[in-house]
Amino acid sequence: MKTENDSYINNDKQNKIIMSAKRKARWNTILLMLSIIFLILPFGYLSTVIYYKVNDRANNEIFVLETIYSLTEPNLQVDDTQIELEFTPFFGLHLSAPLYKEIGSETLKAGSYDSNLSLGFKRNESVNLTVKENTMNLRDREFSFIYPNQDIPSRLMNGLDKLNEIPEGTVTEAFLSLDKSYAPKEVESLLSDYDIKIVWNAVDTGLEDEMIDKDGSVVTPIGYPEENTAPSNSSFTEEDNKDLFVEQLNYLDTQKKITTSIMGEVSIASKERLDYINQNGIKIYGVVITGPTKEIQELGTQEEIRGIHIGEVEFWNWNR
Amino acid sequence: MKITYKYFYTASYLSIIVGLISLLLLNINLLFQTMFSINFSLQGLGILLGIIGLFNSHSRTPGVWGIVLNIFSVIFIIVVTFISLTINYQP
Repeated sequence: MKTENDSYINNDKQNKIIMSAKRKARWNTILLMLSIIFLILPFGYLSTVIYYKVNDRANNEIFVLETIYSLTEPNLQVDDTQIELEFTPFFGLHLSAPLYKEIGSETLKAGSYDSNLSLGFKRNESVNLTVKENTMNLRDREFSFIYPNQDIPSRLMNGLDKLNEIPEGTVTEAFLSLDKSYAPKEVESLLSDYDIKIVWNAVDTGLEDEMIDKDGSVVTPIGYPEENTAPSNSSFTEEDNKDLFVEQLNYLDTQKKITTSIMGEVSIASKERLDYINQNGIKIYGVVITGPTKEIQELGTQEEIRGIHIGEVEFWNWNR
Repeated sequence: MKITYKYFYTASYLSIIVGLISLLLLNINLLFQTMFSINFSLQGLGILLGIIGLFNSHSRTPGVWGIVLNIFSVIFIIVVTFISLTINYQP
């Protein structure tokens, strides 16, 4: 039979049990808090990676960027093999890529492109060029090329005089505006007598006269590199530079959201341009060429060349 | 009997601590943008300790807790590595 004293736990023992329970609860709370804190970053990162994987968002970001540079920046290309991509927790994506220009026989680094996407949509981008920037004055709609029926501005008229000032033994990048829109084959034969290389072709898409789309936004010149190749890992199938150009423009039309976020206030008017190209075919009204300065000087005197804009000049590296 | 309980209990809490260490390493990798280690021995140890903890009713909850933390680390590394390989993969 239990006595009254047996049924009670003495004070010391009670204190010990309470202290032990408190200690256990404290450690449980600490471990729980640590678990929650350490899970926040991995959960954020995992959500980010899955978010950019769904619908191939990250790859589309890369392909759109490469395609935009390829089609809208004459002789300025993103090297798709050197694009670096970093996810940051909470839907951040950092893209960085070197930019290249072809001058003479060499492909030279022209700068770098960086873009930070936060929360999956807010873009903060910076382009650091180590070369002369392509002419793109949106307010006055001045670009490196002039459309055939437009008056030639002085900046393109004195290109030949500038070429005369450049010493021999150099190679030059030149933006030539033609007297009318030619078929690509005609352009090739027009330039075939000269020891130069065509780098980029400016395509007539029906908007180049005004450089404004149907919504009133300024459009960028558009065209394709002469050696137009699809980015690795992309789903582009065409191999011919012109067909690939149309495929790329179609692709940009399907990726309007990303395209707009990269282009900002400038429109690419992909739909309008595609409609025009489908009806009229591809016609070239300007080309970017590179080669020996004296050769370009000679070419510049041809009546088909209405305007010349001089880009980069480098020491002799011509070995074609 | 009390000694056995203590063993299970210790194994469960060790499993949680191992899980926290692997999560801490993940956090360090993410903060400093370094490569994840594909060696899962730490998580394997944590899962084993957690399983030991499951055999006693007193240590079952912390055992499950430890297993969940370690399994999360493993799944995280596998999923992120697999998805990263499908985004702009350059051999």
